[in-house]
Amino acid sequence: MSEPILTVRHATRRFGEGGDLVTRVLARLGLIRPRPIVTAVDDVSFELERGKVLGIVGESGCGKSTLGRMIAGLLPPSAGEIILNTGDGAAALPMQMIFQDPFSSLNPRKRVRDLVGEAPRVHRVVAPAELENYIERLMQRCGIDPSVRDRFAHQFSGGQRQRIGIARALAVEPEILVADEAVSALDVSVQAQIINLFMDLRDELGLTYVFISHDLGVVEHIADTILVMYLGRVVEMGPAEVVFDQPLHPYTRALIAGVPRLDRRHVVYAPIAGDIPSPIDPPPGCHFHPRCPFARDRCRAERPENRKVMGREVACHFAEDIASQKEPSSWPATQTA
Amino acid sequence: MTAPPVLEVKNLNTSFLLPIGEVRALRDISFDVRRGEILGLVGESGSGKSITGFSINGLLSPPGQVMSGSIRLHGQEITGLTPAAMRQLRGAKIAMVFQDPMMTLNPVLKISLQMGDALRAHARLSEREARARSIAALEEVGIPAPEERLDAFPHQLSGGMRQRVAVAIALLHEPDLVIMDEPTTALDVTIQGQILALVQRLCRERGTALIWITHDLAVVAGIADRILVMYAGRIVEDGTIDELLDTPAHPYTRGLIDSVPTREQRGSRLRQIPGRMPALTDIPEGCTFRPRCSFATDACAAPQEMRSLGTRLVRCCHPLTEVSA
Repeated sequence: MSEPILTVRHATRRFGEGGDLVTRVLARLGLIRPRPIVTAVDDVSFELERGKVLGIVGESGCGKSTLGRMIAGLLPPSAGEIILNTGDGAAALPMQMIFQDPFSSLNPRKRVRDLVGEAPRVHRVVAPAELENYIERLMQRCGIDPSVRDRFAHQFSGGQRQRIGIARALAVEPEILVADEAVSALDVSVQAQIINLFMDLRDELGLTYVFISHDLGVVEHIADTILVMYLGRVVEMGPAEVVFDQPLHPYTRALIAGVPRLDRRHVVYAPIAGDIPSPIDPPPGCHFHPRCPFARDRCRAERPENRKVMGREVACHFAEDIASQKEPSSWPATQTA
Repeated sequence: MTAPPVLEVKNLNTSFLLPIGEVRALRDISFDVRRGEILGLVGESGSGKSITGFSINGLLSPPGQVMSGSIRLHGQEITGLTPAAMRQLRGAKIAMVFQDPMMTLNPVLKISLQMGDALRAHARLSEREARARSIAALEEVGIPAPEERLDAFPHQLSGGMRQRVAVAIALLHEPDLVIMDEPTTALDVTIQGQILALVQRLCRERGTALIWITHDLAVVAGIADRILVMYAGRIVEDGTIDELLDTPAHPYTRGLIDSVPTREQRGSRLRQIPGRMPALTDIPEGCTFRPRCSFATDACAAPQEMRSLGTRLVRCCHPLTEVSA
């Protein structure tokens, strides 16, 4: 087993803490209501090996993007630590991020050559004389015709822009790429092209990915390890095939059962009830208990710790019971009509 | 003798009359939808799937215009109707649900007023009757505490709730045809499942004909009876869900299906379609898919007509079902 390239220990991120001095004093004196604190990421720990793909999945508000931003160094954690072990300082900038919206993540006033070439020039990844060739190679590698290097971002389609975003990220020779919903905004046929590009680049350059998506089909396709989040906490984490073939956490099961698939025809949808609660005021105990068909008193009172069960980590008091039980009739699932 | 279809669309052509000239968004669209049928209309951005919905519902605004063709609702032609006559149909006979429920609902009006307006546009009702019907409609789409929700503003509801309200409004007058344009694309997986279950139940119970517009084949795989695949303004394949997904006849349909990541091919390269859809201003002659098609031959340079293959239609001169057979 190789040394992990990324170690996350008890990473937590809260928003709404502090405020300026006046706000804090007034709040202390009881003159204004204290601002609500949202714990967007709550005590997340994992290790990621070099060359592997970690898929982070969950629904809106589960904290997956906040976690991604912390890993990418765009947000400092409120508690815990995130350690990068990126070899002997070979990489100029070991971590790069690719964003969801290829329309707003590229500066509309810059030409492609500057979008891609600025970072390697500033960080001296290549000699100035080499820069032109370097940009050309990168563009070619990412499937953009180098002859369009003088165009602006708005002259490209969504898929092309995402390729430019990837070329820009690769320009500083990173070792880890954090892709936050990087293919979600793309059409299916273009999405397949970009997913293939991601996988080719991993094979060629030995990149490590943190791939954040709400689309379980995409994550299942490319991830080695899956991390499922719900309201800031990790509810299940383990090798992709283990988690997808026999999910243990009721939320993971509901998610996987709810994913529409081509081979599920004429189904009667029987989805899990309820809405995702507000992260400002999450339910006590296990965050998932108001929607969980298995919930018992213990779930309402006591927060489940992450435990090793059947080859993965799962945060559920009754994971073993659930594993051995047959599906109850109230179970959210899709049945063939 | 079966009943006539709820909706018959024949040779529909819709264009945008722009300063640069006529841009043909829909070419020769023909299909029909029967009572209780769920039709999936699938295509990528720019394929014309939403414009099809807008054309049927009379929601095109200039420079968009239906140029020719016929749209019949229960046998009655609706293409030439005056805006006033169209308004009588819309909401009562044909309803539409859009992708983004935040844009559909007016942010400064309470839900009660928006539902009341929709109700009283087509029925004489007192304030109290309208409220009672609104509550019943919200209950039906599974909104908890409907009396309270009725006095809420849209921003006080979650995305899933807002889309339920939009569905409730669309179904208020028990329309014969509901057009849903990407209704779950903006929603989370578990909420999408809830909306799918809801729409499926309501349409089956009432025999409502439904057109579900989406870019995601997998979403309609679960609920649709039949699928139309659109590409660059044309229907390229029309068939029942099982035959179309199991043995696609058009190379584009096959490409779409292969592009969807599945668990069987975990970690392997996806079979991608090279290139991208042409702009509507720059449609190739002959088969529109020809430049991206790995099966293309010289015959594909000729214009492609819809061909009938048993129970399905395909716009391809050498359908895959014949090549492999």
